[in-house]
Amino acid sequence: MSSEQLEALKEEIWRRARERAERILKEAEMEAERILEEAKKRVEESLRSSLESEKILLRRRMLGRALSEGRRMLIMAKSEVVEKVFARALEKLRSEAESKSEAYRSFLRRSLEQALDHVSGPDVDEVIVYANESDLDLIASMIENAPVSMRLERASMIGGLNASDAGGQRIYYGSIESRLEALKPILREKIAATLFRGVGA
Amino acid sequence: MSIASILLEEKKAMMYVEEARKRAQEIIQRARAEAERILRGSSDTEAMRMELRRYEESLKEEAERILSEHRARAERIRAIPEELIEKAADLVVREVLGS
Repeated sequence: MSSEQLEALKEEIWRRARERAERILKEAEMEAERILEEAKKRVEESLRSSLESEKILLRRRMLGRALSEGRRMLIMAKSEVVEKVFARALEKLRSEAESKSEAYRSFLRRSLEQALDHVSGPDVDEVIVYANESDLDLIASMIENAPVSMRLERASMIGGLNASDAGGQRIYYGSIESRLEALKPILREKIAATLFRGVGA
Repeated sequence: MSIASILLEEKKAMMYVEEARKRAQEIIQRARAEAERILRGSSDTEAMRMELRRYEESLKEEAERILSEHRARAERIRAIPEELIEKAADLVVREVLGS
């Protein structure tokens, strides 16, 4: 083998060695890049997933609070209006009682009948009727022919009457205040149906 | 130059390749270490906090919209005309007096 041939062989050995080394390093760099990309991708996915659940919780908490505060405002407003209606109704009832209107007289008569039904009985000697002072004469005229002994007592009320037996074991509540309180749950619904349709409430 | 010198060159070339292989290993190990570091630091990043803060701001606006809608509805309820209040009060009177 001539010296030129040997030199060429040496060059060839080194050319191949350099090529191989370069390939090895290039592949390593590509692998390193893949490893880093994969890690970044996993981080992004994990962040996105925990971010999404954080967002859902945050949304539920903040909007839930706003909705419940909003509902509270609507309930308060409706309640104020309903109370205004009751206050106005009470004024009207007071006026009915004071004027002894026909509607009021009928109410008083029916209340008296119901009181007698409820309180009187074979073991009851006397029925005590409690009423507003201004109604006592009117009630007295209504009980003239009552089948049981009756006693009238003055009481502080807008109108109507309460009644009991002498021992206080049977009691009938028929004053305007009692009737109003007893009817309030049903009346609230009726008032709401009358007032809050069509106001976007 | 002889065959012996060629063998020597061949050995040097192999060592050169071997050296490249070692460097390649180091490159990959560094990448794995960096990947580990990236994965460990992923739980609570500034980017996530920023994104959540931005989202919270948009939710505040949405919550305020909900509140002002409800506030407006509450005002409409309070502004119910007097004649309707009168009508409802008359209904109460009728129910109480049973007429």
